[in-house]
Amino acid sequence: MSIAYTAEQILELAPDSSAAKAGRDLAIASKWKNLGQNEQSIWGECQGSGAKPYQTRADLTGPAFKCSCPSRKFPCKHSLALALLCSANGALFEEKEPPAWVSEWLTSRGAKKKKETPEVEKSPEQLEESQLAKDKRKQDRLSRVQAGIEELDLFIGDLMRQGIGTVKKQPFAFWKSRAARLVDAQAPGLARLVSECAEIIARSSDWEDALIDKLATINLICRAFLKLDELSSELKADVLTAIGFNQSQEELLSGAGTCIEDLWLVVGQYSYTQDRLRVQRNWLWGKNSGHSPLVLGFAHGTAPFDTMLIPGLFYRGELVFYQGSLPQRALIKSKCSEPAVPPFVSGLTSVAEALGSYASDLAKTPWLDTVPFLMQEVIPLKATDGKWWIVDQAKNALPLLVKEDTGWQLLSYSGGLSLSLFGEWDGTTLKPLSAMRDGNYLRLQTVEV
Amino acid sequence: MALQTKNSPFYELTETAILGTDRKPLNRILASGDLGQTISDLSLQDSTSISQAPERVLIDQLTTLSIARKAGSHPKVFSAEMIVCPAETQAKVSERSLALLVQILALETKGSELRPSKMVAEWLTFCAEAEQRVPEEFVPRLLGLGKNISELHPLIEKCCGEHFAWLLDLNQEWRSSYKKHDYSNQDTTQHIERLTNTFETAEQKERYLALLALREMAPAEALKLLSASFERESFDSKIVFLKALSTGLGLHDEPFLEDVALQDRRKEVRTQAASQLCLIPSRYRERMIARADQYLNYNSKNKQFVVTLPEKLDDSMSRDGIVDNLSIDSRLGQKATWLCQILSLVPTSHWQKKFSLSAKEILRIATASSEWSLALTLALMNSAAKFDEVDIQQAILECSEIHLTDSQSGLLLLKALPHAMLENLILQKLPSWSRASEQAPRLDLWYYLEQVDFNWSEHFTREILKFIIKECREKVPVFGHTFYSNASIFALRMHISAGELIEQIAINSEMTDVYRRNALERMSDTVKLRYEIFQSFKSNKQVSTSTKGTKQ
Repeated sequence: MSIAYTAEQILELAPDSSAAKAGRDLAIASKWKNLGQNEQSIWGECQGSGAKPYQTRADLTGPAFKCSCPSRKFPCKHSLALALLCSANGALFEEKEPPAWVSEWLTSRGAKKKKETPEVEKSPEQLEESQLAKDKRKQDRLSRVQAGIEELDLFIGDLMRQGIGTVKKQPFAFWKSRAARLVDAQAPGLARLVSECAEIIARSSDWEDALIDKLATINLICRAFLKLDELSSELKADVLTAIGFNQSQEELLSGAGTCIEDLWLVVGQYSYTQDRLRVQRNWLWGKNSGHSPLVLGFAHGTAPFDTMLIPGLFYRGELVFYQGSLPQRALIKSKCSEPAVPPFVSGLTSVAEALGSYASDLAKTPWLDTVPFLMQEVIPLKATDGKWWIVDQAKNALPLLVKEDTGWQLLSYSGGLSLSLFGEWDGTTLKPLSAMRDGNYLRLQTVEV
Repeated sequence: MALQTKNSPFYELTETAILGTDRKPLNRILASGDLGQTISDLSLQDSTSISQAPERVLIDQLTTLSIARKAGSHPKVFSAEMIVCPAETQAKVSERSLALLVQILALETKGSELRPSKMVAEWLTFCAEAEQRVPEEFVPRLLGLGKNISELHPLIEKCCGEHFAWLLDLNQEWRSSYKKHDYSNQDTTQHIERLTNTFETAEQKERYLALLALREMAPAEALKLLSASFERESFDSKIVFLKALSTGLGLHDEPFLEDVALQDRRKEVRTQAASQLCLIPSRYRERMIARADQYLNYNSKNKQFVVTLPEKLDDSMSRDGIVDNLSIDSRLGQKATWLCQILSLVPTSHWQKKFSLSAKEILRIATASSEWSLALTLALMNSAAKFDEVDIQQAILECSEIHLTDSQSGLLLLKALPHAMLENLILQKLPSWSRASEQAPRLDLWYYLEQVDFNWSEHFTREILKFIIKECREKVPVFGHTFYSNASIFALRMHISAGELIEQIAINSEMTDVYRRNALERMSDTVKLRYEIFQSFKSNKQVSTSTKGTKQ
């Protein structure tokens, strides 16, 4: 028996490229001894530079790893190598009872899962007091945000009066300092949008329209915030989320959010760094529900992401959605991988349907950033002007935001035939993240914008 | 998009946003439809408040426009039919083989000393032998990788299945890189025409490849093409193109080389032409032999060579590619250098015949004639390298007084030796190199192996590995810097069977010499990786064979 993950899927878990390389280099049978496996886990001992070999084990249901090496990276090169070796040559792993150092770890993992954090009982007075404090904190923040938004409104007004043609010459700090003021005003969501304006202007061409779109989004959020009391609770939640108010994960998990159980395919994944914080965007697709939640993972430096999901794999579990008129972001309440299920989910069947669905989403949340599109039966092609497109059965096309290498990879993968393509649509271009065909999944490299 | 085109009534809004309301007053938008009405209404709202300010109205109108544009975008319609790739008939490589390819390709991005293209070539060779193909999503990556490495082209073509030709049709850049193989289905005339066209219009590297291909296919056509353009070529192009004539070199090339190339103004071009001319029974070779005869004679009585140095470098010598200040060896004077150059261009067989001496005797006398022994020995080594004469090559290898690594001429010969002869030379010396005594010969082993890039035979690989295994157990093993810095490269040159022996190399954490340990580890890792690739295809082949057997 061999591990159900492919080498590429395992390497997706590497914290950085050097760990991936070191993992690959160590994935040679001769470097390992006492290799073994059972239904749940694999293990082995790898001779490192020390006298004692490192004891490495992996729980395949997670997957989760543990190694006795001193590396701070997670998963370490030994963990990656063990999984790679098993993926490449499962026959090396003898089916047997796990040794104590494996079974103890598996037991402790099981116990951790079951362990419930006991709530400290509070008296009604204490509860009321804490609620009052919470409300006051929220009110104070809303006041600060209001002040920040009024200042931002003046800034946008100045831009409109002087013309956006003048900002091309402005330094990066012009936008950064404005974003910093919004961070001070506790509106990090708006601060991010303002920072993105600087990135748009740095582009060599077509920046004017994109900047107008971005300023329009900011304006819309600001105007909505100023009329917050008139909005429905869902829309209110949307506005506050867009500004940067966090919904409490504890509250969501304890019942405030809608919980959906399904078989979820990790249909797209990419990560980027934002202010020294690594952010991972995981798009999931419910096989039965058709929902497409976004699960965000965060990590500093080389630390592992708090959520470990492998693209192209199905997970059975419960997801809790954040509140809003168009619930998109979700939290994982429980998950268990189902590597044997081939990656296929049904999505949108035509470009017209996709654009229609996007328009109705915009009607609900007009400042919507991106939406997931899972396009079925589309063919990628390169037009004579050098741009990449996908074309549906009715010959309608959507433009792709794709690196040249990835475009060719996608085209080759299709062989000129139709496939399923998943990506993020931002209103003008589709950023493809994966393609699926004949029960196979292909992860695509994203373009840095 | 359409909303902001120049003809759109909303275009003015964008224009105002770019210029600013201070410079371009905001006009009332007069457009029909829901969007026009909504935008028009925005300027009428809140007439008493500050939001009536033009900049506020402008941003609100732009916001409306932006949403309308996003929500109302129309798809582009394509009418062209996509050409479908023909169905693949070959089986895909196994997951294991593919994982190893990914591993090799990752080495490329790391700038590894392993020269991944060599490993990729080996992987592709195994893949082609197993009659398998890479998954289609990997084809573009391989096409990109091999674009400028022509040796990989036939292998990539074999291993990419139907997707190879299909993608080449869609990608102009790949098509022009891989065009040599693109011509495979064309007839010879068409092929020659296209190569000629490439030579006449392309960049230097492509022109050289086209000339080389044409030379292999139609040597006379290639010569005609080069002759026609030679005078107009740059100095470095002339040298490069002359090298292409080595393929299929014959007497038919003599007129061009003698009358055109050898008359060139640049000495480097003349030297290149001379090195070609001396390889064919040309007028040039006759001239050079006649010249050499003036300067080297043999006194059979005292069994010594009689050497007369050239008095001056005359015009005819200069035209024949003899260079005034060529740096052959710092111990040689100017005239001895001229002599050495002349003798280097004469095959040793000429002296054997003229003096009725064997190659071995000629070498012995040359090394014994004290005053000119260096010039004569270097000339004999150059000649042995150039004319590929086994007798003199063997004689030099057997001569204990000559160290090939002491001079450029020796290294030249080392590189020119047939690989089997070089392997024999090394294997003969191997036992003496392992002797840890003062009488042990200088350790040239690793230097020899560093200098000559060739694929080691199975027997040679095994003997060298046994030697390394033995040395690892010695207190003072015969490793050194040259071994340490070339360990991975040696591992790439070894026969694949090295994987069976490599485990016996004792590398342990107690090994105090870190350089040695690292080098042995690198070598071991590379051999193991190569062996694993080999095994992955072998086992997969066995599986598919047994499956076939079952089906039958």
